[in-house]
Amino acid sequence: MSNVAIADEILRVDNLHTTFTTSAGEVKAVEGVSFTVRRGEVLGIAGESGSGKSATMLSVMGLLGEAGLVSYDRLDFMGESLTPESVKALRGDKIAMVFQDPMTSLNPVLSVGYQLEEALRRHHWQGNIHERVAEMMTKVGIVPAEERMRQYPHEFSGGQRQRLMIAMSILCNPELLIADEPTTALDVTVQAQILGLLREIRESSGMSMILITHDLGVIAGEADRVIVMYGGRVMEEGTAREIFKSPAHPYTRGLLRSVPKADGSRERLIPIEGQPPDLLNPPEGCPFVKRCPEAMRICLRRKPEASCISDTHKFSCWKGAM
Amino acid sequence: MYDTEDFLPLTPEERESSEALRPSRTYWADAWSRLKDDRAAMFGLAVILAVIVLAVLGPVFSRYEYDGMDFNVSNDPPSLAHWFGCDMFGRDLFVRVMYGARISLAVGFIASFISLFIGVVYGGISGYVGGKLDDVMMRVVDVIYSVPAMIYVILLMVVVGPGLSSIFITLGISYWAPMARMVRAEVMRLKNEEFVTSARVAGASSARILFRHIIPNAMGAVIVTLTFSVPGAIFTEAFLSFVGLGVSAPMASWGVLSSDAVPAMAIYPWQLFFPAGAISITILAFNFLGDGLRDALDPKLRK
Amino acid sequence: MMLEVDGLTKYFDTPSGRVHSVDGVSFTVSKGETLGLVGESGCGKSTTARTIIRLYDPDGGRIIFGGHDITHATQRKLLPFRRRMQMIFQDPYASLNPRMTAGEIIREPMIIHSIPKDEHTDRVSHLLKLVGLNSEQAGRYPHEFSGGQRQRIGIARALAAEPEMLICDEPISALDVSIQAQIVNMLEDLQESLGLTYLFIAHDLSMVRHISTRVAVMYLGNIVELAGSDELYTRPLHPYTVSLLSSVPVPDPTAQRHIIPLKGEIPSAINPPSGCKFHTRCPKAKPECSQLRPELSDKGSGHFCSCPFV
Repeated sequence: MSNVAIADEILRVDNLHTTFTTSAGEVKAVEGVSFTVRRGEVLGIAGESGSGKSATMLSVMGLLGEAGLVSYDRLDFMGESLTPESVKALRGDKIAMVFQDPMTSLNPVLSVGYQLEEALRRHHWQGNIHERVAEMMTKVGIVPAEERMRQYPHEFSGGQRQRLMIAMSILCNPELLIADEPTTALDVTVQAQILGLLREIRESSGMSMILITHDLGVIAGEADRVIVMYGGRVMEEGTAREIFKSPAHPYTRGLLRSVPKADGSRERLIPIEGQPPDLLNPPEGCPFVKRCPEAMRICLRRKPEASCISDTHKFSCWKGAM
Repeated sequence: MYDTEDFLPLTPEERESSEALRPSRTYWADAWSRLKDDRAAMFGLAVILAVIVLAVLGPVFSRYEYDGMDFNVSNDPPSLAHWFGCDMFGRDLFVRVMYGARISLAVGFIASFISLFIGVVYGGISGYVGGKLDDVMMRVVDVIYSVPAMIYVILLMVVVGPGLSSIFITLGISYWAPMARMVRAEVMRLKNEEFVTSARVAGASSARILFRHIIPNAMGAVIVTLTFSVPGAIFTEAFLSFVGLGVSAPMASWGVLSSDAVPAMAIYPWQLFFPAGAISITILAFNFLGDGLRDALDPKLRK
Repeated sequence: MMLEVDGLTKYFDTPSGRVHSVDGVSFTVSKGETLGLVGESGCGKSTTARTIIRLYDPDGGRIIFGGHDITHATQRKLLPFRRRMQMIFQDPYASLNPRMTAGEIIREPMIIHSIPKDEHTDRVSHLLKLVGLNSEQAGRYPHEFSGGQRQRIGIARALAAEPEMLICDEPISALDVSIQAQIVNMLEDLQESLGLTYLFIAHDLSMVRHISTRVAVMYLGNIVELAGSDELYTRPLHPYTVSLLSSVPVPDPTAQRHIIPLKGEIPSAINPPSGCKFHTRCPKAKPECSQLRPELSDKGSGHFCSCPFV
């Protein structure tokens, strides 16, 4: 695991809001999300579908286009304020991204070598472009690189395509890698390979990573700090140990209770009752109120503020205000 | 700052009350609400409805007969008495355009429904049965596609002879190929859907699968194709009448009216302008509506 | 014995060659038990299930359900068996007809199996309650329900004709984590109250362990290991199972994990490796593995494994 002690900030997001306008009404996908990523650390963002975890990162990266209305108090990358123009220049250079489905990020009619070289050219790489691509492909285990550079995306398996995307993302020595469900489409043995590869790269380059996934197991294995999102809001934030060993928010606790115990005991699972929030018709108060076993009257009407348990551990629940 | 009451646990009733259910809407109600937001499509729909109302009721309430001649007003320009002017026999052009709309719309709809029927049956069988039969049936469609439809239409019209009913039949049997292809593609897609597999596991017969599961889900695409094929048929009818293979005088379709107006086009331009304008506006309206329907009925856009 | 599968084979001919999806699979499922079937994508677990329920015609082997050989039964002869064996699908969005209401979806198997019409309405509301929905929701369309609720409708439909066995084809993998436990608990309750037998297919190994009595592990169309659920998870024998289990992430940041990595990815089922199909990725492969043809054998107390070197 990476070293958390070096505490300089790579990314800072304060009070991010993202709203989508659909034919059926307004959807507040992200509401008041704040977080920081420090050098060399892995920030895990955990959440189910509709929690706003992907919308958060797409908003930060300016990838929502016309569809979403984004606002924030502060958005800094390495101490400098990000603008739509500067984030465009940083994308694929100092900030790299890896998505769930690598096929959509690769052009099927161009050779992979060409596409990787093109990515370097776009960022005005100083040095031998061809050698750099070969080096990175070798690094992610696509060998022999010279030969495979001439191949097309369909000639690679799912796991290899994800390796290619990782090669492409680290071409320019990024400071931050945003990985959005990077292993969700892969089998567990391949998932283990890809996560291992990402770990190696982080250890050798000191790059930071934001890992977005619904898989609590993956988060527990990789993340230094964790944000748990639900209904567009941050429910709980803490170190991996705090989140998994002493979860404070009823949602986090419920989530951890609903998966089978690692020791294989056949105890009955304890599910979170109810259905995921209706984003078009969110409750006035806490988004989790309808499913929360500990809900109180105030939870229906007012959104809770974050309460601190320790320097690193915060949760948003009226239980914390009591 | 807070009441202690605020921190009482929620009672089951309070929990229930926070459960706001959205009203139930069928697929069609949902599609309609999306179509309503589409201005171009609603404009198209309004034009089509207006044309239909005028075609059905206009000639009934008009002072003039579509074949009533009055040589005192031969070739009169548009006026308060004759809104669209008169033709060389002094027949009121407004009533003739409205009457022509009957013929043109009837041709558009009936020919489209005939091609719909043939296309749905042909494409449905081809797509559902698949395999060798599908290969053969689709090669037939390819052959039909490879010869321009206008050639059959003209040949058939020459063989069957001009007249309204022969136009219906000719257009219907010439324009089913695109419908058949579309229906086949839809059926092929739908028969691999998991809900069809679920019906097979439940033991449903082929007929049940086709009529309860596949066809209801293909209706959206069929309606869109139909909306686009109506203007095609109207246009073809206009063309046939224009070249003299369509309905004959004193009946008037928009094509006939345009055709009649051509010789004197330079002197009495309104005689061409109004029927040609009716054709253009109607075809445009159908295309607007078709585009809107495609968006409104597209299952991929449904969330 | 509810279900016996013996040497089941299913292949598909594609333009690039013959895909051996299921290549001689044998197992039994006794009444009231849950057999878990796990493996990575392309291992043939779903094809096995769909061949057993006769969505595909088997190319070899035998399927014996409730004492009757249904391997080559015609669709008409299958009808009574369809009533007794039903299926739950992975994707609750795709497996419900969007043009039918929940009530119509649940009622359909009753119509097909000629259950008296006057019972339908009562049965539909009973089934809706059984799966935790209320009977007022019968008039709603699938898109008005959440994923978990749709899966409940799918289960109610599968139960509509009172089957004895359910084939669950990845019934929870499309659902959110917080909903999965709801569905798993419900399946367990239904099994107990209705005496159901399950064939439970999934790639989530920890859920399979939780719900299954016994578990079979598939690799490239073969079962490589089959044992009681706890036995398999605590004492895996086959190198593939060992590696697979070691790769499962656990939601505990302090857990000490020793991942035994596998080389590469699952090979193509068109040209599977010779001999033991796993030898190309096996950490313990020996030269002779590319020659021998491994068979499942009992390594003691019903723990079957196809690797001869354990």
